Parts: sequence; C-alpha cells; structure tokens
Amino acid sequence: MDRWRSLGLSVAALAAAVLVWLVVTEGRFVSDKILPSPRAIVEELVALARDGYVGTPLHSHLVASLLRTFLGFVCAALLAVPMGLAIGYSPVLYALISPFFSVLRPMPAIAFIPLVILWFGIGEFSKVLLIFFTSFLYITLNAAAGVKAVPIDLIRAARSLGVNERQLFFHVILPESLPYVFTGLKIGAAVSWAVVVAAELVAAQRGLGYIIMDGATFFRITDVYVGILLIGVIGFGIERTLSAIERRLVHWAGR
Amino acid sequence: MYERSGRRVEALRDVDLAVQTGELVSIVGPSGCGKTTLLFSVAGFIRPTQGELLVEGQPVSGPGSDRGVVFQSFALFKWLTVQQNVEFGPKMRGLPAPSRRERAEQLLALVGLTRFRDRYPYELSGGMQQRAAIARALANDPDILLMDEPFGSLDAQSREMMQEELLRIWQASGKTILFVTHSVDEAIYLSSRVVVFTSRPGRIKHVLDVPLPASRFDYHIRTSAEFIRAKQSILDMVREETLKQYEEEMS
Repeated sequence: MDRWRSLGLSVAALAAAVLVWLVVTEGRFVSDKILPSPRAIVEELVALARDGYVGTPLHSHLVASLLRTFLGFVCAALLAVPMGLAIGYSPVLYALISPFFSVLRPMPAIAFIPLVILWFGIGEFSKVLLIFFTSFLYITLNAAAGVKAVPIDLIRAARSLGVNERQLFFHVILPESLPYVFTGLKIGAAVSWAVVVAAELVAAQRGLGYIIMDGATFFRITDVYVGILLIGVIGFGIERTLSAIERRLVHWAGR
Repeated sequence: MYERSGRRVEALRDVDLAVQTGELVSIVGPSGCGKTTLLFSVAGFIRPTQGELLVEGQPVSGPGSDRGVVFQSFALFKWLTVQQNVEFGPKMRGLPAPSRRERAEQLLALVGLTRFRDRYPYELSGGMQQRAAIARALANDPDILLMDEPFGSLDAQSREMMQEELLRIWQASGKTILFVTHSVDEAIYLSSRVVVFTSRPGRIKHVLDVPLPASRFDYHIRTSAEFIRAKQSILDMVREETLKQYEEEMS
C-alpha cells in the first residue's frame, strides 16, 4: 500500500471515530456528564486558552508539565547514555549492575510515588525525580543492548584496520549503537510524559495532571477530557519530533 | 585449538602451509572444517593454542593493519560514506587528510566506485558494498588480504563479476591473498593453488596447483577441460570429507 493511501485510510478512520462520538453525544445517547461532545471540548479548550484554569493561564499548566518532563528526561539521558554504553561494553559492569535493572524494570514508576513523596515531599524535586528514574531505566537498557548488538565482524574489521581501544569505542561501537540509543530516548521521552501526569495527579498546583485531577474533583468533566486530549496531542508531538531527529541523525538505522 | 565459550575446540590439526608473497591461495573444505578458523588466526582474531603462525617472518600476536580482512557480511561502517569507509584505517592511524584522500581516490578508482564515493553503504548493491570493503581493506596497504567467503552473499551473476574484478585488483595491487570459499569453481578460477581441508579437526588433505594460465580474463576458461578436471578432483575430495563428517555425526 502506498504512503498516501495509507495516510488517507488513517485520516478516514479518525474522522469516522469523531463522527460516531459526535452522533452519540449530540444525539444525547450518553450523558455529557460521562462523555462530553467534541464540540463542547473544543469550546472548553478555547475558553481555557482565553481565561486559564482556576486563575492560572493554560500555557502555565502546559509549561509546568513540559518543564518537569524535560528536566527529568534530559538529566536521565545525560547520565543514562554513558552508563548504558559502559554497561554494554564492560562485562564486569554488566554483571554488577544488570541485576538491579532486572528487578527495577518491572516496577512501575507510579508505585514509587508515595515513597518519593514520603522522602522528598510533594515539591518539584519529587516529580522530576520520578521522571528521571523512569526514563533512566529505559535509556540505559537500550544503550547497553545497542553495544551488545554490535556485530563481531564490525569490531574485527576495525581492529584489523588498526584502531586502538579508544578509537574502537568512539568510532565504531558508539555510532553503531546510536540507533538503539535513540530507541531508548524515544521510549524514555514517552514514559516520562506519561509519568509527569501521574505525578501531577497526586500532588501539584499546576500542570495537565493537576487540571485532570482538579476537574474530576469538582466535576468539571469537560476539563478532564481537555486535559487528557492535550496530553495525547503533546505526547504525539514529542514522539514525532524525536522521530524526525532520529531519521536525520541515524539515517542508516534499519537499512 | 582455540577456546569458544569456555569450551576447547580442536578446529585445526597439523596445518602446515606456506604462502608465497603475491600468491592467491584458496582454501576449500566441508562446512565447519576450520578454514575460517585458519583465516581468522592469521588475522589475529583467534589465538591458536599450539603451533606457530608467521606473517613476513613475524609471529602473529593480534589483529593488525598489515593484514587486511574482507568479510562475507561486508562489515562496512553504515554511518560513513564509501569514501569515509575507505579512509577509515589511514585516518585512525593518523595519516594526514590530503594523503589519505589521495589514497582513497586511487582505491575507489581501482574498485570502480569513484562515482559512488559519497553514497552510504545501504544505498549500494551487495557487489558494490563488497568492492568498498575491499578498497577499505587495501587502504592501509597491507601485505596480505584475508578474504572470508567474500562473495558468499552475492547472487550468481554478481559473484562471477566480482571474481573477475578481484583477479584484476589482485594483479594490479600485487597483494598476497588468502581466500576462503565454499565454491570449488571460485577457488579454481581465482587461485594459483587450492588447499583442500579435511573435516574437523581440519588438516590439509591436498594442495592442488591450478593448471590454468596466469591470465584468466576469458570467462570460457571456466568451462575448459583443465578447469573441469581440476574441479572434478577437488569435488571428489570435498565430497569424501563431507561424507566422513556425515557418518561421524550420524553415528
């Protein structure tokens, strides 16, 4: 199937879903206390953009969520990429560190929310720490997997071309692992964005998670939906942006 | 003998082979007979537990730029262009940019890739990728070229073209080439001598001096009477060893 046909089908499916949604809500088949109509949501979004949510401008909420995510994610990436590469490269480090990752990986970050609040309070640090922790795991593991997946022929080729250990790492192993590193960064960013909302659900005065939680508490259901949709749209935007960077930076991946 | 995942494997036994400078010698034998082990030992990837391995009179102590290696998988650096791949070895060894560029340009011309020097490996056909890999292996001006089934993943037509290409490159560069292959045809067509290995542990069963003229660019040589006779005798030997291996596995 060619690209335009595929895109057309996707758009059509999305349009059909919105149409069903419109019919179900505007036709009063379900209560707007359960599912508001797309029209109501758009109107509410416009109102929020104009008046803000409970006295705080909408963009402040967006920036609050994005900043937390960005801070946690970037700190994690800066530490996790070198660490993952090192673990993948050194069997000793791998043996020492991988058991911790094996145990930590299946634990969802949100399970740590109560603990983190207990240790560090409900301030910004706790939220950023949760995001850091979650993306750190994924980025490290992918970077390590990338190093481990470097074909032995490639290493042998480099050695017989006369590289020393440092050159082997920086000129062969690192670039060859980059596609994996990027996969880790993409997953890390996606989970970071998911976790920021979870963290804000519990304790925040600002952010998309706060809008959702506060909206639900005071029964402003449309605001809850606006919050959820904004999370989706922004998450989609983050993914697309990273994918675009990936296609430029590791253009050879998968070829 | 060498170690693999902690298990000692006797891959080769009593292999005594001397290759002359400028010679192209092929090694054939049943699968798993240790012909790649021998090649990789010369390359320095595998350390033999016993015996002596000398290149230009010096014992082999590890991989080095005096021995260029060409792999079946090409093993090109996918993030580098063809020219950057060829320049890789000289660059790592600290050759200044102008001289390594000049060297790369000569080699790209030699393998016929001048027009494709700014392409990435994934933009090239298998045959072209292998040409790039050969140029890269020659860039350090090694004494020996070690080739491990370099044309094994190419289709039959590109394979024959690449064989002729290799003969041309060999004659132009004057390199000593050690060539491992599954294909008896390929071994005869390319080599001055064909070494036949026994099944594991690999020993030298026979060394055949190929009774063909040094210049082989007429491809009809592949169907000449001498060629067929040589092929017949080598096939008989390989088959005998393969059957032996089979019986051993089945018993």
